[in-house]
Amino acid sequence: MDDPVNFWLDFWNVLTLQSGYNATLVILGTTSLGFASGIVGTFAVLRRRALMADALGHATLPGVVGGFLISLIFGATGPEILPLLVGGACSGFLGIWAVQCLVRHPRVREDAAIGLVLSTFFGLGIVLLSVVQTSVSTQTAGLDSYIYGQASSMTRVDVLTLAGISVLVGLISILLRNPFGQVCFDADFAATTGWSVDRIDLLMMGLVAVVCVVGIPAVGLMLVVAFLIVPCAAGRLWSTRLFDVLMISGLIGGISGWFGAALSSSLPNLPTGPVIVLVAGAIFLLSLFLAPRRGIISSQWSAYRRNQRIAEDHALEHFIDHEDSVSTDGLIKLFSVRGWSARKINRLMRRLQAKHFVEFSSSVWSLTPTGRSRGLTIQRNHRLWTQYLISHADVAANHVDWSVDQVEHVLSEDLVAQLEDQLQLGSTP
Amino acid sequence: MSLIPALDLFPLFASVLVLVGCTLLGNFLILRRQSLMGDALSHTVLPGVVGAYLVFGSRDPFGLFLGALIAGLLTVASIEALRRYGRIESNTAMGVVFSIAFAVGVILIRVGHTDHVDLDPNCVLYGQLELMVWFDAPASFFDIDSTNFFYAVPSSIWSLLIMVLLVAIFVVVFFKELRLVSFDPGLAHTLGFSSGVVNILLMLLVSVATVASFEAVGSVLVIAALLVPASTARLFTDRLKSQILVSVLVAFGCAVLGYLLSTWIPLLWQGESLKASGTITVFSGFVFAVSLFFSPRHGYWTQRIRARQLADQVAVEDVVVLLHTSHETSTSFPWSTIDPRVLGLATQQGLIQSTTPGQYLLSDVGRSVALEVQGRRNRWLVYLVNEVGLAPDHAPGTAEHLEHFGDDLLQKPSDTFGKRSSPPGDFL
Repeated sequence: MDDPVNFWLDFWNVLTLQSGYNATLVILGTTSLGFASGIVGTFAVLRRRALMADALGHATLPGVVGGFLISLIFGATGPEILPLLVGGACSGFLGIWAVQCLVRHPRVREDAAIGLVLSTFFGLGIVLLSVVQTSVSTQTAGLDSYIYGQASSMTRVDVLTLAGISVLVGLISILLRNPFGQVCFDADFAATTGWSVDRIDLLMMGLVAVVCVVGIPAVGLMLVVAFLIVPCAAGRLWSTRLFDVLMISGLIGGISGWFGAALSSSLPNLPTGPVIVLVAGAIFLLSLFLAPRRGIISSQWSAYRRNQRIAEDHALEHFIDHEDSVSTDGLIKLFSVRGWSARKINRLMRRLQAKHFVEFSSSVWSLTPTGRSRGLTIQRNHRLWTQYLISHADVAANHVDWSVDQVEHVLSEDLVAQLEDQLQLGSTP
Repeated sequence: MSLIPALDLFPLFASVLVLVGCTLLGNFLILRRQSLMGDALSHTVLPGVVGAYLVFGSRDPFGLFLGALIAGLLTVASIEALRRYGRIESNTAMGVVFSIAFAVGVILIRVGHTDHVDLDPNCVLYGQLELMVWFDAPASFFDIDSTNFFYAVPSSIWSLLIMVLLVAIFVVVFFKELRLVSFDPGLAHTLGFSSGVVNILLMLLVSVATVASFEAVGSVLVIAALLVPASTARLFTDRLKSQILVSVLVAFGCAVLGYLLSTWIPLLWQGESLKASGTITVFSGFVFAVSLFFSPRHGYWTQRIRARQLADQVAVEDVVVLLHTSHETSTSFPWSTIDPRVLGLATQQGLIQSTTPGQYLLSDVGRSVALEVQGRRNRWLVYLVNEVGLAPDHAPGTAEHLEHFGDDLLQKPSDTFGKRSSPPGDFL
């Protein structure tokens, strides 16, 4: 990155697919892979198997190396993609199967099972790799790229296979989103509606495994887990509807694949996998803060607003109880049970004034008619809920205060009507 | 050629230290269902180490240690923050954090051009046990003289020793708290122990252990060291103290044998030695798999054998009861429908006698056994109807399953239930 202008030009060219056939191919491959893994990964995350994907990725190493050794026996001269991927798929499936078997044992819990399988399989891979590197004297440079991923070393056929499989897997997942979703959200319910949960589970994990294995040459087996779960973790922040989450995750995965591949090909010496993961990570961080409703900024802001409103309600309640206008000094005494600071009281009163709930004239605070009716409503809600808890929920009368204080602010109009009905009271006084 | 050459002494010692130190902590990680925290921490050590290298510009062990420790704490904090503020499920949060951190680490390595020092990404995975080999070692252990020896000890052995000491002190001093928090966090809370503080200390120590170990053995063996010996020990015992003891023994054995295997196996084809971190991991996995099948307490085969014996016993009792209720007539009894193996077992136990080939009679012992089983069934029936509240027409089926169980202790209370009323005869 000696020359920033050149770098950005270069990056723009690659990004807009104007930088030659190879770069375009790589981008095509990683984008479609990102799209598919975003979608399939969503089901893995929803089924709470996020880290199973990690075990799967690590477990492919012995198969990849073993496939290489076997292909050498059959006369290959260097790493070829097909035997490596087939080997990786075999040992990856073996790893998942081992986790499933271990989990059934009463003394092995799921987290431990994943860790056990992951480390043992990867250890085996390392041993095989050292056999290859020290004892078999052939070209082994390509093998390393399977660990960290090197999309630029893929050939045209590799990329087309990768893109084809990715699109296929993505489409299958979208078409089967109903049964998949049911199994993810409520497996028992899915079983009662007649789906075979085991088969659907197998199909889901199978699709995850396929994406994992075909993705390894591009992003590397250490980081394929990030490719599967980061887009979904980001996507879930934007929506709560399954179809939307699927689309958003797919989109985020695709964009990370596109930008990541473009970045890594315009910067020298950067492996594709980590760069793509970083792009996905950046999108995740942005979503974490900026997403509407579930994002940190938005949810903290609404929590802040809610607390403000609750404080206002409490203040009005105290006014109603006191039934009189209060001097500024008297306010501190009036709110003493709340333990509010003078500054907070001051700001609170200004807000109430702005909403025309209270008025300030000749150095006393008093309720306006709107403020009075609002305060009475709150007080009535408070009493309704207290009555309900004591008479219907068997809460002791001296325990009721605290919990009422929390709930009175969130009673909806329907609920209030129901309470009135249940407690056989007339409507608003 | 000696099977344990003196030049392997230091790497061997290092692997023992790594496995023992990590295993001590792993016991609690497994009990607290936090095994994957070890996985996450061992991944996030990478950006910490590389970052520290780029900041300090040297491989000063203290700097690297500090960097990795900070990275570890940041990992724990950010996973917790994602769970709390982003409302992201903990496994997903863990996966997101450690995979992104690992990617940052790999990129830092490439960007910082640190490839030429031995911080290349592969060392992170495999470790560098081989670099500790003592090339000036004397030919046999008897020739080692002490001054020579102390000069030759590599620095990472010292840091590993300190790590193991720290971990051992932590586990001994906080044993009571760790046990309480691992098994019953609720009780710990009501007794006034903060599980949060213990958790933070545990995570801190796991970070320390990971950092100290990872340079020597690589991140994969660290995960294995944290989890595998402790999981193995859990198959052998139900008591925490003996679990820790067994796990340390297993760790020691795995480290020594696993390391030696890395030099022994290649002798088969006269190759160079294998990656020791890999062979230790695979050997520990092998030990775990063997224990999973053959452990006397929770092993798969032992449980199968126990279940089989129980099934046999149930079958024998059923046959005896059947014979007893059919008024001990053996002539019209459909003997051919009964598994001959079960009949053989019953004969062996002296419960039935064969008068003519293919025909059996109940012996005195058999009669008393049959009465005992029927008595148990009646007691279960009474208990199920009176105490459990099962419908009278549903109880016999359940009682038939349960009649084979019940020791002296169980029989006493059901006897007292029986005094209230006896079940109507038509149940039987």
